[in-house]
Amino acid sequence: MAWGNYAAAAIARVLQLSKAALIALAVLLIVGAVFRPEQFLTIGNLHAVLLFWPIVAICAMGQLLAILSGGIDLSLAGTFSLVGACAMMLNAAGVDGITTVTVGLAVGALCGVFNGFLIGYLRVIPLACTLATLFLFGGIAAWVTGGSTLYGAPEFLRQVVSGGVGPIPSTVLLGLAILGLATIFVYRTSVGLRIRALGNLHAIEHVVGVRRSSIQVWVYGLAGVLFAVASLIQMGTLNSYYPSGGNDLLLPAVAAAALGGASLKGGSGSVFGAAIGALVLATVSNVFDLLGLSPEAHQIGIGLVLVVTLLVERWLNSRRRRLQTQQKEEQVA
Amino acid sequence: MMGNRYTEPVLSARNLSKAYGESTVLNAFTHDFVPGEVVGLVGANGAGKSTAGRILAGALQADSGGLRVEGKSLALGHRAAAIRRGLQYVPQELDLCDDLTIWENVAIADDRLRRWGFALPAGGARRRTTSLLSRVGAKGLRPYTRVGDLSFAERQLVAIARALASDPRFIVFDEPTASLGEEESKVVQEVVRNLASDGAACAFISHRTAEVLETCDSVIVLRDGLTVDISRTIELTEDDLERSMFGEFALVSEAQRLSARTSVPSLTIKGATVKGAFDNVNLIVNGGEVLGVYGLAGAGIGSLLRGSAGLHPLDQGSVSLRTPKGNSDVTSVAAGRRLGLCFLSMDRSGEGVYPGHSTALNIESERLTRGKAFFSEKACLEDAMTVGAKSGLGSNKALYSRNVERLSGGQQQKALFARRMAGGSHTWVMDEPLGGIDVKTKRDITTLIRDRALSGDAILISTGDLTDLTAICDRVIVMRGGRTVGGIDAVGTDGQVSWTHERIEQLRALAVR
Repeated sequence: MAWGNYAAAAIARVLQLSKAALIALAVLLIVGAVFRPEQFLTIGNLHAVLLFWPIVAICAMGQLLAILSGGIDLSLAGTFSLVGACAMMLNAAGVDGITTVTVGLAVGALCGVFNGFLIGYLRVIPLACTLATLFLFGGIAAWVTGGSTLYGAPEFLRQVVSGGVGPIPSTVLLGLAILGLATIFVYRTSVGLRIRALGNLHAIEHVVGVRRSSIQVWVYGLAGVLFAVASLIQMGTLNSYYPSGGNDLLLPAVAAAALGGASLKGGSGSVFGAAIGALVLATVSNVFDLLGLSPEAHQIGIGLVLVVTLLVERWLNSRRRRLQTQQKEEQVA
Repeated sequence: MMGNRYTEPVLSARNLSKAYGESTVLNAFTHDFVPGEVVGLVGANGAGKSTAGRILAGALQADSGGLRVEGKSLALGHRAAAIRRGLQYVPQELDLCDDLTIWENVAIADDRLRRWGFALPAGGARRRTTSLLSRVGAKGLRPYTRVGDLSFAERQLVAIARALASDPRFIVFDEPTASLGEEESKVVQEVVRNLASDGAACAFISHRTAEVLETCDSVIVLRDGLTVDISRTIELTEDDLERSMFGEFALVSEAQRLSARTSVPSLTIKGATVKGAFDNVNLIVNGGEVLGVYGLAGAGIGSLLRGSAGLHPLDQGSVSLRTPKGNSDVTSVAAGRRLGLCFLSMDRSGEGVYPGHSTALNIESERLTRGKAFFSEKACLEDAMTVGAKSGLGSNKALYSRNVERLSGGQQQKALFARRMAGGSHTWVMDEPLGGIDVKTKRDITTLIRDRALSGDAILISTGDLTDLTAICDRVIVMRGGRTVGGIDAVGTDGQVSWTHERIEQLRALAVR
């Protein structure tokens, strides 16, 4: 009974945060299904929508951790490129696939821990710090690779990425697995709890005696690992390395988290919401493609969808708050 | 009820002192806290109660002195270590995480809820929270409610439950009842008593004397950071306590003074309503009058004052200001300013001063924004010093060129007064202008406000401290639950203001009902 209540409250909370994103997704699906029924509702098209979803979603989840803690991680693009560059170099040197992947993840973690150290222990503002490391990591990547596109991803990565269970691609499964793990981490571990608490309560150290610096190392370290995973998946999917690959993901990752109901002030947001936000972004592009819109109209359209969704979210939230105050007044009266 | 005097102390404080800049907020505080005893820390605003409380709980580092927990010394200002040694603190601002549920707020503070070092099983945490909540008498609360959705009184209980999560042996309660109604306060007092009878040592900070006498076994009276009295509560009456808390300042409020009130209405508030904050408020402030608004937190006073200054759109009703050309409505801050109405926020650093700029520029900012496009720094400094001298800032040039952030709270308040005076305001709305200011400066500002009234300005003011309020006001209106519920006019037929003890008690009674 109590457990049922508990689960209901938890689900209600997650849905509350990502309601607007879910509405946007439903509207897009209806638009696609109504205007381009024979193209939109095919397995092939679904695959096209989901091809880049895991990459954006995983980046968005990493970004969400930083946002929840009251910060932001702009170094996403730099970490993304540096991980890719290292993997490419190792591959070219003939190192085996598993080692390459492991080193790639370790590089991501190192980049993140470096951020976390600067932010947590040396008290640099997250925005400024990760902006600096964005250039730092990106610069190292460009220097290592000579700044050019490289072809031929490690064989191991290509195999992993092209696999799957039945019609479901392995990358989607990986995305879902990370979604599950991240949800458990954020809601069911002490570190996850402290990350959310830090976003609400900057003086957490004075109030509950929990050290802020170590929480921040966790936040940015894990974000770095997630960016590394996304980078490796993209490399396998495209079978090549683009120096600017990360730049094209930085803002969508922030947008996906915000679409999914994360408050950029920190403390509030959901992993599920971020994943749905990423799905909205993927679906918008796909539907606009099918509608035959020009690339310029594409950009304008994405912007409009974002604005409208955020307005709906704001409206839903203020409505909820109004209802609550009304209820409280009635209780008092 | 009495604790055993001969029990080993849980916490011994020796010669704790703390100063901010030139003002000493706590001076040589010394006391032994024993299990089972509730010690009241009382004093007027700015007496150093909160500072003492935070230092005792290890949440703030003292400049000198020492703390010993059960005989072993404790590193000062190390919060995590203090919590491990059994010291806890329930802060006045609560500092709960709004976006987290009740159980999550409790779990941050309680390491033993973890499994395998990191996992947080909801079941265990929920049971623990439920038992803590029932210990603080909040059985009706459910552990998975979001804290942001709770009422203020409920948040207070959750904050206490969170503090209990670490099984403390010494707990500081910093004004836990300051914004609660009478029944809710009783619940909190009961909780504190129960904790003490379970063997904890408690420090109870409050400025409500009746409550302190009911709750505490002994009481420490602080004035200007100094311990002026330590007594057993059974030997005390409320009058004794008030006299030693307020000292001569209490006499100021009782002293006879002449009201400068005219019969010309300056600020008129008619049927003002903001849903969820205040309802159908009607007030008239005459020229030369200081009108106080009193009530507990949640009475809607802050919103009313902001609404009167045009900072908050009204749902119904109007605020109008007398001008040479007849009455004009205050529809926005800008309109109010044009008409000579100004607002002093209680949040001096957030909504008052311009941080990072000199005091002189802060004072002159309002005059500069109307008229001159260019200005010389020298002229600005001179002009600022002329006005500043009138508002009690003195004529020390260095003070005016100093970054305004480096001024004390009281000096900042004086600078803000100077700014508004330079801007030519004649009607003032002041929200807690005496908050967080030491007693001496408080007296300066009290004089400053009375002087404004003497020169014909109309003043609408709020403070949570009745002694302060009656030291300034001609008339006080009491609000409760967003409505005005009565008031007292202290001006007699002869124009003398007299606040008697009975009148002050009447106001207090109106506010808590």
